Order: sequence, then C-alpha cells, then structure tokens
Amino acid sequence: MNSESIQWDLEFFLKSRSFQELSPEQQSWVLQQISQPEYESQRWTLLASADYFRADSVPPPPPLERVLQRYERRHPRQGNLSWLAQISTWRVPAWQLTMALICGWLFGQWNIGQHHSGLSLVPQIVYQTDTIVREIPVYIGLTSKGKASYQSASEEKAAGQTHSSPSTRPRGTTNSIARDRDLLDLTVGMQ
Amino acid sequence: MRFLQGGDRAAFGELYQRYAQRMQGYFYRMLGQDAELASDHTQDLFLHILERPHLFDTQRKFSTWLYSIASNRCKNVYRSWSRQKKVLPLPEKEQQPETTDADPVDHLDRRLFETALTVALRDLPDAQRECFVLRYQEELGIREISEIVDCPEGTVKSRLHYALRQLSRHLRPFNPKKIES
Repeated sequence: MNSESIQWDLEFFLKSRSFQELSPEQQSWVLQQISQPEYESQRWTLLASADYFRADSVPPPPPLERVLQRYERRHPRQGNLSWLAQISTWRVPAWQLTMALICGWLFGQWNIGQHHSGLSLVPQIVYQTDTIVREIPVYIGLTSKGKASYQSASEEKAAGQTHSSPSTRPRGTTNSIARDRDLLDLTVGMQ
Repeated sequence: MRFLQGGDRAAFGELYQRYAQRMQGYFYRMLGQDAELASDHTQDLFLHILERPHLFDTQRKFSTWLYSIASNRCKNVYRSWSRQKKVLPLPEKEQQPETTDADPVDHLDRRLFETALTVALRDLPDAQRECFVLRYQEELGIREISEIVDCPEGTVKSRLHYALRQLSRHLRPFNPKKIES
C-alpha cells in the first residue's frame, strides 16, 4: 500500500471518527502512518476548517446585469446603431490616411469611368480642303530664244499675287506645265 | 451550456445563478479574502464564458471547466504578485456587531482562530492551498480536483496531506485539547 492510498483512507477516518472510535485494527493501521496526538490534531484542524468555511460568509458576487453590461460595452449590438454610428465604432488606425486613400481610390475609379464613357479620344482623319501655297523661287534657265519664260517668285509677290492659283497663270508652254507640277509637288510636300 | 453555445442568452443567466456564488467564494479564498478582487475575477470569468462558449467541450463537466479557468486565473495573479514582490494580503475583516448572548472570550477565540487560519492558508504553497480550498471549501472530489489542477490524483492526495499537516501545526495553539505531539 503506497502513501497516496494511505492518505485517502486516512482522510476518511479523520473526517468521520475520533481515534477512540476506530477499531483496534484501524488504530494499528493509523499508528503506522501518524501518531495518535497528530491524528487528533489533524482531525481537529480538518473539522475546524470545515466549520470555518461553512460559517464564514463570502461576499455576494456582482449582479448578473453588471456582467451583461460589460459584455454589451465590449460587443455593442449592431442593430441598435445607425449606419453612421456603426462607422464611428470602427477602429481604423490613422483614419486621416485611410480617408485619403479611400478618396484617392474613388477619384481613380471615377477617372477610369470617365475614360470609358464615350468621351475618350478617337483618332479621326481630317481632310484638308484648302491648299496653302507657298511660293518658292524657282529659277529656270533661259530658252533657246534667250528669253525667260517666267518671272521669279519674288517678282510675282511684289506684283501682289501671293496666293495665286495655278489656274491664273499663263499656260501653253511646256515650262508652265512643269512649273505647275513643281508647285503641286511642293504643296503636297507641305501637307 | 449547449444552449449558450447556440446563442441563448437566457442560458447564461441560469449558469450565472448556479455558479457565480461558488466562483466568488473560490476567488475570495484564493486571493486573500479580498472581496473586490474576487468580484472582478468572477466578472471576468463569466465574461470569458460569454465571449467564448465554443471553447467548452460538452463531453466535460461544466463545473470542472469553470474551476479550471478560475484556477488558471489565480495562478496568473500569483505570478503577477510574485513579479511585484507582493504577498497574499491579509483580510481586512469588517467589525461585526457583538452579540450580547455570546461569550466574549469564545468570540475572541473564534476571531483569533479565523485570523490564524487565514494566515496559515496564506503561508501554504499555492498548489497546496488550491487543493485544500477545492477539497474542503468547495467539497470537490479528488478526481475532479486532479482534472482542475491538471495533475494525477496521487499528487492531489499528497498535497492535501502536506497542507493538513502544516495547518495543524500552525493552529495547534487553538486546539482546546492542547495535545502536545
């Protein structure tokens, strides 16, 4: 029999009967564990402590309502709050930064929406109807007759024909046709 | 507890009515008979249950689980006090009105004995005090105590034996039989 089981039985004897009330066999068994005075002392301590625990009034626990109130404070009911109050209960650190990020994100979304809403740039081909003629001096060599076929561009400009069209010019010679073609090429080149 | 796990708040009220007083008594005895401290810990304990009912294993006994949490809370308090070099305080008992029919000497002896028992309990090692209170105040079984303090039943019995031996030495002067060992 080990000491643990002895203690268990000893406790039962201590709680239930005095040393004199034990049978001779029980007394001899108890005396193998502890002395008689020690048995009496432990028995008295055990009973006196139990009496004390029973008699000593323990202060009442806090009321249930207080516990529930603390719970409510920690976990507020969502249904009783307006949406604005709910937002105010959110615990977001650095709310200024958070708000700035949200605003930036919203602006970005709006900007993307604008881009895709039909106002975007569509490439179109614009055909220019007017011809801007820029006259460039063209020097043509003398003909076999020793007479120049055309005046130079500066001379024509001085004569007030800065925007003359090819149709106003004298025609009829090979050189005039070549000049018209040159001007046309230049015009196309400018475009 | 199953109802509470299912979200039934009324079930919590029922549990509180059944166990709050016992938990208050346990904390009161374990934390130096400080009523305010005991109330705070009782509140925290039940708040813990209300917030985390899913932690309870329905295969276990509810009171065992409750005492386990309370026991761990007491250990945390002891650790905190140990860091602060603080000892378990002595109770500041309110002066109770003297009864005219009671013998003043007996009354004084009783008050002295209560103080001596409180001091003796305070001087016990934490593990022994815990087992002693659970066994003789809460009147729990050895097996249940072993589950609460998470140690073998033999260890619980051993702690009880040493606790009783130390208490009886402390309280010998109050023993009316004045047995000298």
